[in-house]
Amino acid sequence: MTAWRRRAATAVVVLATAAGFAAAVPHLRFTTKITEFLPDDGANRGAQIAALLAQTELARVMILDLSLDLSPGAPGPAPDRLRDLTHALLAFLGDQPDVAVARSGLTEAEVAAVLGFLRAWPATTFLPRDAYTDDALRARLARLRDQLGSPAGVVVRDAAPRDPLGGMWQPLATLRAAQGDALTDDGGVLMTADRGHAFVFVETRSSPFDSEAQRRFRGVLDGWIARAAPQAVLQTAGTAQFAIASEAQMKRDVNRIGILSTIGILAVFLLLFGSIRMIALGLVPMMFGSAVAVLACQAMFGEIHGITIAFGTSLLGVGLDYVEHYYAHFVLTPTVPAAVTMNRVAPSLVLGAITTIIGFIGIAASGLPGLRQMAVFSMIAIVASMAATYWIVPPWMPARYRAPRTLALVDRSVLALLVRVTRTAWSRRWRRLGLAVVIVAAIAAAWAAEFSDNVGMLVSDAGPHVVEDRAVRSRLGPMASAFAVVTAASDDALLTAVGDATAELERARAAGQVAAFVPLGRLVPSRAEQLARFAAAREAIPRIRRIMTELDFVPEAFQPFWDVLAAPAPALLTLADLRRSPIAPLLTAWLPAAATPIAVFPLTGAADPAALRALAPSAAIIVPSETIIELFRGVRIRTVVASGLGFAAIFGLLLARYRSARKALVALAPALLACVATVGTLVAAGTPLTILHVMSLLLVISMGVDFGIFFVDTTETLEESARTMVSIFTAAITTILSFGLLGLSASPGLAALGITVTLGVTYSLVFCLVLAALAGPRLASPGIAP
Amino acid sequence: MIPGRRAWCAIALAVIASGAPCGSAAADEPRPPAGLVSGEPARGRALDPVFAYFAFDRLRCQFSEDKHVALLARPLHSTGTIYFDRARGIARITLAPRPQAAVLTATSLRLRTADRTEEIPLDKTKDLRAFALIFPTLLRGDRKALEGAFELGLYGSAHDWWALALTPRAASLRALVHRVVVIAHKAELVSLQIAEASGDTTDTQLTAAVRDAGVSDAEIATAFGAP
Repeated sequence: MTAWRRRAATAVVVLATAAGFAAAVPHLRFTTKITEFLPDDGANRGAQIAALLAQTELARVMILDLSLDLSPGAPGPAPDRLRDLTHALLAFLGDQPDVAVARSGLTEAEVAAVLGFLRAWPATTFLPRDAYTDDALRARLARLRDQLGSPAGVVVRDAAPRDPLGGMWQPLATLRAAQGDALTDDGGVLMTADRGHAFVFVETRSSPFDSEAQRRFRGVLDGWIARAAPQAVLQTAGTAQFAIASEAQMKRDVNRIGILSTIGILAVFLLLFGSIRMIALGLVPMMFGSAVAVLACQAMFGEIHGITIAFGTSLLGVGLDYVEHYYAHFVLTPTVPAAVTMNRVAPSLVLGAITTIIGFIGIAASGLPGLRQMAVFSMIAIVASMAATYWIVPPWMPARYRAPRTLALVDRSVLALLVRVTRTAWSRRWRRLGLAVVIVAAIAAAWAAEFSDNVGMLVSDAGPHVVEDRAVRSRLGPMASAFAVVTAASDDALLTAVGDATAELERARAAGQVAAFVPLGRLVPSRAEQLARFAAAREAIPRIRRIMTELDFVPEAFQPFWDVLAAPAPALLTLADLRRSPIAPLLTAWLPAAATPIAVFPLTGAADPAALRALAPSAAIIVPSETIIELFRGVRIRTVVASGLGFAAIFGLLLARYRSARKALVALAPALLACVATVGTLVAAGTPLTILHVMSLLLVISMGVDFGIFFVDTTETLEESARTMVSIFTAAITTILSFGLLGLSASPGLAALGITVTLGVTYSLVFCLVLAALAGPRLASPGIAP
Repeated sequence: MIPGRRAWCAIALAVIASGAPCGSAAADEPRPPAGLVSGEPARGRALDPVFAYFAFDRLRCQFSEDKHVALLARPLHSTGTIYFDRARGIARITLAPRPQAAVLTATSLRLRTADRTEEIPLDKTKDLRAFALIFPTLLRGDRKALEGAFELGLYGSAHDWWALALTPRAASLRALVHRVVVIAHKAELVSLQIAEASGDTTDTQLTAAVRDAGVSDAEIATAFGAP
């Protein structure tokens, strides 16, 4: 193929890719789902439940917390103004097309509807079986008599003839207890007891993870506040706020990393290569690689996570490494044709790319869908960048080129450094001593390293939205520290399991293992339990009549009650009935409509989850923080194993390439030593190692091995070694420019990644020099052996 | 516990009955004449002198109540003290047959017994809210507000024995209560009678009334408990 044909072919490919990317951009879907960073371990019950919980209303509902600026001179009492404002907000939200549900307290119509619904079921439905002992009957009827004589008597007077034992009030008492003392319903508005804050619960039709829709909705809310109540303060809690904050944070990261690293990389290129054409050409592989990776991920996953984009932006620096290595050899031997130079360095580049991909396979095996996408993105980007470097760049290289003086200066300096450090021939004893020091350092670092699986992958614990979320939730009452979760194959089976779990949790509460929970079994008895209650009531008819007479009641006045008990079978309440009922909005957080029937008991004061698990075997006791830690521990172990395997695979690959264990070891050494030094530095800084550090070390190995390969492959002369060191130096600089900036991210995960990789790459560069020094005068020989 | 509309209205009736300003008539004082509440009641300006009696800041009186409930074979009898405070509402302290405190404010009814406290919000129906506020409205002499929910009729003479009958205007209220009658001798309330739609009746006799400055802050604080 002639030169112009190769240029034409590469131009067609590049332009076609660019056109395809431009056409696809409007259809790209981005997400910031935090759940993508939850382990998807299908065999782990905790992971399954975490995934289920993430799909329920618990995750979907946004809590709006309104309060007023209590400046003097404001019209009317603050609680009244706040209540009116909340009603106005509810009306406004009701008109918003994206709002599916907006509610606060119970309105007059809702109260009437709830009571009407409860009254429609037999009085036995909600009355526990233990209500039919003589003592319990006497207590309930005596209470009814007292109520009839008190100002509250008229409350029960209407329902008493058909429900003398007060069954229909049981669910309301349960719900009232669940609301707790922290909240009060003031005119249909749920407020804190001091009426300083009012709450609205909103569910949007858009996913809470759809950050664009949620940002738009937040804008609408803020606009309303600014217009209708500039003196009001709006705070929010819920997943949507995290999505908005995460997106904003990622955008900031991408913009900062993209702009600053591009400027830095351009400056480095300009300084070292002095050619606008080469700078432009050098950007082609990484842009090509990124475009291909974005399109491939969109096709494979249906959407691209924001963190993948943020990571991919920083990966641009890695994609440049291949071009830089090629450029370094080209510009320092400009008389050699570009294609020839490429053929000479290509094996190193391919080998480096393959080892990097092996490293990303380890990340893909982590079990986190988000990281899997990130790894796939990276692998595709690397392959595409590598292909572009090999095939697209050479035809467009300048035929005549004069290296800038800065490059010559750097090259001479590196050469002088190499000459100096390789002057001394280190004896075998010293090398062994050095090896011993490394081994001791590695052992010490491993011994001192503290692992933590309590990671905040996307969210900074001290972020303002986290603080606000906690403040809002704390006003709603004691926060659940754990959940008892029950799942079943069908609604009927679920209600049976809920009944069992309720009984177990009541025993656990009596034993002091849980302070409070919502006894869902009292709200939704199973079919079998309803039949058993009905049978217990029928069996108790003679005793009920006798005790009524003892307490001065007129049994005949309760004919509606006797008529219900005379029926052959009671009407049975089902979960479907409840979900269609006016009471449904009150239950949806605990009995969410999900593909898998699931019931969630929020638990407060569960200090000893292990003891609670023993007392409540029917439910899975989930302590979110503990479950996440447990899940990430599994991820970390899998990643470490995958890293070990990846490392062995890289060594095997190097062995196959060099057919020399010594050469393979030398190629691995910078990466290995860099890992030890990085861990040591992190340990010395008191940083506990997380799964993200482990994965970052995989990246360090991948890139460090590239350096090692470049180093080993070009040691025929000191001059060639110097050129390689220049390319390694350049690659390190550009990588640090991207990952170092990632280290400044507000996302703890991205920051950990950036810091670790920056340290690792820096150490890889340093250890390349150390290895050169250890090789001594023998560096410039085919049989390099430090 | 979240009662329904009818229940809300009914509770307001009971609380109103328990919290009316009471006269100082003793058992041996003359009783209202037979047939006081009969014939065609006076309306309009004839009620003005009655409303002129009500302008209290505080009130304390004893009550003795008989409640005839169709569900029970015998009437329920209770006695105790009623407190009124313009800012806080009404506190009904029952001493017999069992101690109980019922505190009615503009927004809720709080019931305290030896073993439990129960708070019932009063803002769930417009009818209920209007009904619950009858007593303070009456004490303020705010006739217009009362007439919004009830038809008022006066029997007898405001200068001697008189009876003020309140008949609900709304069908929802009429389904619960037939009529409330306040009986008084001049400025002294003597009894309240509530006739419910179910046929149940409540007759509350009021005695030993002490007004305004005669009721100390400490008494009010004790009766109403924590704010």
